[in-house]
Amino acid sequence: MKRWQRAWIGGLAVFAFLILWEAATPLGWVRVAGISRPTLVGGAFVQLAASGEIYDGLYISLKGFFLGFVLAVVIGIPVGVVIGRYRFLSMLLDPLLMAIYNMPKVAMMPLLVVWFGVGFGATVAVVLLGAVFPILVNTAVGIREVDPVWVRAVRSFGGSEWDVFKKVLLPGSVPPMMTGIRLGVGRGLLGVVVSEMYASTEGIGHLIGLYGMSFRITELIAMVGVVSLLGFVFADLIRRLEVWVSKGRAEVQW
Amino acid sequence: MSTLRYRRYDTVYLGAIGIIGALLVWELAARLRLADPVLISSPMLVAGALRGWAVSGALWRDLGTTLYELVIAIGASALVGIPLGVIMGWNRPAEYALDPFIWLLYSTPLVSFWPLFIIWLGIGANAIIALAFLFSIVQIVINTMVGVKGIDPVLVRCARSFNARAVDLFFKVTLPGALPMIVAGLRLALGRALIGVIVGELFSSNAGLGFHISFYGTRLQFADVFAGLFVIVIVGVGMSQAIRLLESRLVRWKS
Repeated sequence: MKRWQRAWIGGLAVFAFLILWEAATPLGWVRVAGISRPTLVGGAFVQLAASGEIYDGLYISLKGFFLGFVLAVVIGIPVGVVIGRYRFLSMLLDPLLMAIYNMPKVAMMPLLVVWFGVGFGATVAVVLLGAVFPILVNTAVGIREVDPVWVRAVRSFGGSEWDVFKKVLLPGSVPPMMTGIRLGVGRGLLGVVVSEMYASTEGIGHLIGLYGMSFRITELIAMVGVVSLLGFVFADLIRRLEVWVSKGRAEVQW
Repeated sequence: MSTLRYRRYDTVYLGAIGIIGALLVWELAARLRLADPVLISSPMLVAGALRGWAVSGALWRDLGTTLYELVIAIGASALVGIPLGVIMGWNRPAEYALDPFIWLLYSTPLVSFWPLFIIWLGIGANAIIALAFLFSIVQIVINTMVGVKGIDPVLVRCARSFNARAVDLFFKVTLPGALPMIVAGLRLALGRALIGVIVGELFSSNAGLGFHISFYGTRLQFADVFAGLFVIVIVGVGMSQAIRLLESRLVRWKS
């Protein structure tokens, strides 16, 4: 009942918003048609999809995103585990990590385009940098917060360091790790769009910059819609993954 | 597995050693030409660039511009976001109606709105503030809503049964009760606003830390770029410390 109500009211609100947006220009609420109209945006979306422009852009952007993100996971989780496990290392590296964690990595864009090349190289680099720190830091926090009693239990039954990792630390730190991955996806997507808008000749971000510069508002809003949809789908996938992972945990606990 | 107990001082010493060590490795890499010094610069060069920036006075102008944009953006999002979050926390239909918009904004890479802001507001501080506002407001709304929803309904009913007006309910029950969540949201929102400001300045402006980085980046003067990044780190760490201080002041009653 509540769920049904939520969808119903939410859908109605979105519909009302679209109606107001559609009516704003013809009714003269907005002098300059700087906001386009939903029907026009829909038409532009169909046209851009039919011409293949959206797919080409998405392909390039997603390629950069996935490569950078996979690298971030492959680097972030093991390094996070090691830092979380050894108190000495975490004390040594914490201030350094916190300083870098607090800095918007997109600010490094001018360096990255020179180091890794305009376009694909810089995109992969900024996604990697944006995503790796949330993953690393949250993994380390997760490892550190695992109850040491469990570690001692594995030890006293003759378990090796590998057993400790596999049976206690890794499963125990999954929820914070997932938080890191969720934050990392957001930072990574941001990085892709910034990189392509800053300096690139392809990808969704480039198209957004291009339509913006040529004042083609309708196409611009259609492209912003594509990026929004992408972000929404990713967030939803992560939420499902989180639910799925925590379900598995509940089963193995006893 | 180390069972050694570390004292409080050790954290400070080891942390300092970590930072100094990293700087040393960087300096050596540049001196020994393990990497092209033009590309990686070096801590000594960065320190020089930082001094030049400060002496010329441009540092204070850039820092002032960035902080100004940041403060306006975060202030506006608190002013709009906290009431919005309270309404969403109090009123279920309002929550359901605004939910799709909030979640869409939360998951979208918001930089994609940048060209729209440029068209609507023109190049300059206004577009940058708008972008940073958008980056930060979502976090404030969500945290406020969660905070308001988490208030013990017994307190609300108690206030109601003593004939509390809506204003009293807001200032005496809702706001104090949701404060820890709101301040936590403010801290996250500041980080997001900083991203918005820096990105906006990076793309187009004529002042600010992001502008400094972009300006010297295109001229391949990387010592100045690193100096800019250093100041951004200081701003980021300084802000999160300031909020932490605010947090311990405001939320003291909780414990």
